[in-house]
Amino acid sequence: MYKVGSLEEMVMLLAAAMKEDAYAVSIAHEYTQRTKNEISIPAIHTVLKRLEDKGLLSSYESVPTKERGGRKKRIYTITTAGYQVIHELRNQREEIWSLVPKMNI
Amino acid sequence: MEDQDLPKLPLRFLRWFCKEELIDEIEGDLFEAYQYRAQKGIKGARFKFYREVLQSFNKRNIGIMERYQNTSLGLTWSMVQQYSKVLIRTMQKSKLYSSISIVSLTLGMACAGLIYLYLKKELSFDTVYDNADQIYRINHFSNNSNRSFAFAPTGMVPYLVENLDGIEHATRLFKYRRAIPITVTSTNQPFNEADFGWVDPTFFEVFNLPIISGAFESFKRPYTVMISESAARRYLADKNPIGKAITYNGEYEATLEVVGVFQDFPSNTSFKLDLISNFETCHQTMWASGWVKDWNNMFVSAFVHIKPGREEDVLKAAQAAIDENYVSSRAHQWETSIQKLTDIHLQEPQDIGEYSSQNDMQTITLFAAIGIIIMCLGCFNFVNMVTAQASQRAKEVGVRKVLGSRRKQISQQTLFETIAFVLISGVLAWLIMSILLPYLECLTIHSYDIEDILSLSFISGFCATILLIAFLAGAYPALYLSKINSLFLMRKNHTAVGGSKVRNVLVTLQFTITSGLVICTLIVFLQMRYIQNRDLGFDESTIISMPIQNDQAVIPKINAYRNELSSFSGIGNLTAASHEMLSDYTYISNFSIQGFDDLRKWERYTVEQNYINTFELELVAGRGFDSSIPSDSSAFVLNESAIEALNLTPQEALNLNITDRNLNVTGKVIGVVKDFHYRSLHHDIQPFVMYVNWDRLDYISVQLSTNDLVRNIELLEEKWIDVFGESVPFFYQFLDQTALDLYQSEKNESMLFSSFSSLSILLGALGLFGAALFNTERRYKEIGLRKVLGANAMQLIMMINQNFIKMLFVAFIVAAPLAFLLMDDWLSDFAYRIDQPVWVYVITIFVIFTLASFTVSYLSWKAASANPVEAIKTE
Repeated sequence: MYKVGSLEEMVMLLAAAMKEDAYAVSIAHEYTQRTKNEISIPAIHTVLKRLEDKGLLSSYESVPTKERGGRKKRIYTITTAGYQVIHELRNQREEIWSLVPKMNI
Repeated sequence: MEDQDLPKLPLRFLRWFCKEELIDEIEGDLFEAYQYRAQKGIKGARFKFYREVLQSFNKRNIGIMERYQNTSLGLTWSMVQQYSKVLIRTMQKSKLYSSISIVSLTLGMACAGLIYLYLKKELSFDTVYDNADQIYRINHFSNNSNRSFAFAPTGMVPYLVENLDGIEHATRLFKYRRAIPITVTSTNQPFNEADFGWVDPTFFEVFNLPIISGAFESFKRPYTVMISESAARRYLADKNPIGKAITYNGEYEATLEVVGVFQDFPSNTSFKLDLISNFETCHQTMWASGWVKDWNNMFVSAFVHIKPGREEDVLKAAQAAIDENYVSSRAHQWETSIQKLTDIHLQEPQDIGEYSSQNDMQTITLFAAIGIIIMCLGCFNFVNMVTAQASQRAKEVGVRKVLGSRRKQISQQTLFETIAFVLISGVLAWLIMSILLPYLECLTIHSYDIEDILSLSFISGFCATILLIAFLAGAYPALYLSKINSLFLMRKNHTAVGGSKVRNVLVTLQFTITSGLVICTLIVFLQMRYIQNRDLGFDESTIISMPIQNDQAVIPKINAYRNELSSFSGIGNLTAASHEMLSDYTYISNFSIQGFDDLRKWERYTVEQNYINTFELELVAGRGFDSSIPSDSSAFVLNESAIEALNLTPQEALNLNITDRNLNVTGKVIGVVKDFHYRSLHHDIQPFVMYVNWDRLDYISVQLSTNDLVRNIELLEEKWIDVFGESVPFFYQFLDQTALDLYQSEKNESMLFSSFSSLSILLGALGLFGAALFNTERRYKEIGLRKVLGANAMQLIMMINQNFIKMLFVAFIVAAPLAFLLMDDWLSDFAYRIDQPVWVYVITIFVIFTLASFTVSYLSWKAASANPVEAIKTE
């Protein structure tokens, strides 16, 4: 079982959710949209590379696109191991949630 | 939106450092984010782009190291072979260019290397001793006479050792400034030893010279002497000197036992001794008996090894001690200071008491600058040659590029060639240095041996320099050659390949330096000649002096000796005095003068009545000494400076009573002489006193006719033996030789200076030759065409020379004022200096122009006089 931080978990979740469209810029964009927190591209790069090293994400190069001035994208997809990790995390949370008394907010 | 909108600088930075496999992703992502953000505001987007590039500069992304590893791996053996083959072919094809390059680089490096060796010796003065940086000399400055002394009172060292715990060891040194006669008892052979010193037994603890043989302990006894290795060899050849006796025949006689042999002082020490004897000996039998703990006389140097951090204490204690104990004149103020042993050589010398000629930082910097300049001149030539050949190499580069060479590989090849050139030159330079080492030894006071240039530190430094030069000199050609567009290179007529601007600038710069150096050398030379030929106030060329060491058996017979010699026409006046004229030391006495309350600390000679006649000193008032007037046996003669110091006219000074307080001699002033140089021209003339005193005569001086000099000297010796007997050794020294010796270090420096500047002229000429060669070769066809169309050879030569003349003119305009200022500064250090003559500048411009015209005209004449058909036919 790998230890993953909350940012890593979030990035993995986003990568899994965005499927074919998951690359650094789109993940950063989505992250900002959903959490209302700014994040820089190099920070996302660092997380992506680290997760890739751990084998939780895998990546491939896309065809060059015009809006990037002909530069290739690197698309990240979640691996089975990665999926297991986030799934496990979710189960843990839910177990704990079930113990939390309901509150009206 | 296009790429161009991205800030250039961070983008280039990113592309430079980033790993190749990551660049697309990172650059692309940052670009996309930038575009996206730019819609909200271009400023913020730009700012974030900068920030994110910097954030990307992290370990994961940086690929600079790998890239360079790749290039070094990229240089495979087969490539080296191929590059070497091309290099050898190029060298064979353009022998002239290659040899100019190699000769220039070799000379530059050899020269810089030799200067480095010289400077290293100069900068490492007195560092041979283990505790060198904790050894200090105690100096004193006299507020009354405004002069500094490298001496301390005799009592100072014993007092400090006894009363202070901040001192590890301390020693006094009294070194004679004249040769001392000694006799090796076993062989009864006399020697005249210039470097004899009295020291405390702790001397070898302060200065830890390696002891070769003998027991160091025995040196604590009086009547012992330690001798240098070379002295031991001189006295007894290979025999063991330990236990042998040496008779000291100085002012007194004493038998000294040799107890040890020490290694010779190296050349870079500020004092050197051949015989070191225990000061206690002086104390027991000689003049020092009452002076060993005296506070009123300054004639010994005091060296103290101070514990770290205690310097202030020692200085304070020394100052307090002299304030309390200096009693001969309460009014006299001494200011004590301590000076690091290692600083002595390069700091301002003390007025009195230095044992060797000093150097100064200015000269050191000057030489360092010359070294670097000459090295640069050599490199300039090399760069010029490489770029000049570029047009010939251009086709090759073009083909290489078309066949797929990348820019990096072209630079790599050029760099390879540069390194090869520089390496060859480096090896040659090293060989030249090893050949020239003995010559360097003649020009400087230092001794060098092959180990100096074989040492690990030298070799590694030399290699580092070679590599540095290779990269500096190779960078421009490498970038320049690889940058040229390949299509342009492939075109048939690529005569307009650039780089000529850089070449012109370099040639101009070279000639600026060369003409500057020529001006400086001429002025240094003139100043030296001026000093050597300056009228000293007497004619030094006819005087010969013989030491008699104040020998009381000899002094009464001086008159008899004079009478014996008077019948010979080749021998003129004879006199005696306490000093040899121009000697580097004087005695200082306190004089009280009638009508003046304070004591004057003035320099003095004690002389014999005939002194003023023998040296033909010029009188401005009164008369000289006269042996027929009895009262003259204690008469005084002053120089003009002394009269000025008293604010009197020469006439007013006559008949004043004057007393030498140190020797207790009183007399009347009978005359005033015009200022003359009793010391070297480094020192300005101070108030000076001569008076008759037969008790203190150390040298006999004789006027000799230079006709039949050998016979005259034989006569002197014959009569010497007749009058004084065989037991008094006969030594002699020509005064003009003494005068020459005084300026030896300046002479050496000016010789070094002129050899280096002639070298720079050679390098400048080589550079110009190369540039001109290139120019005429390039315009070969043009010259042919012009000739066919009716131009004559003269017009063609003018056409080619024009360009160079312009460059030389600019060079001279820049160099002349710079050289003027530099030399003005240098000259201001001399008490007696020349004004810079205009003709030096005229000569320089003339010489440089002639040299340049010869170089250029030869080539252009060759081109202009060639058969134009040949030129036009060549493609």
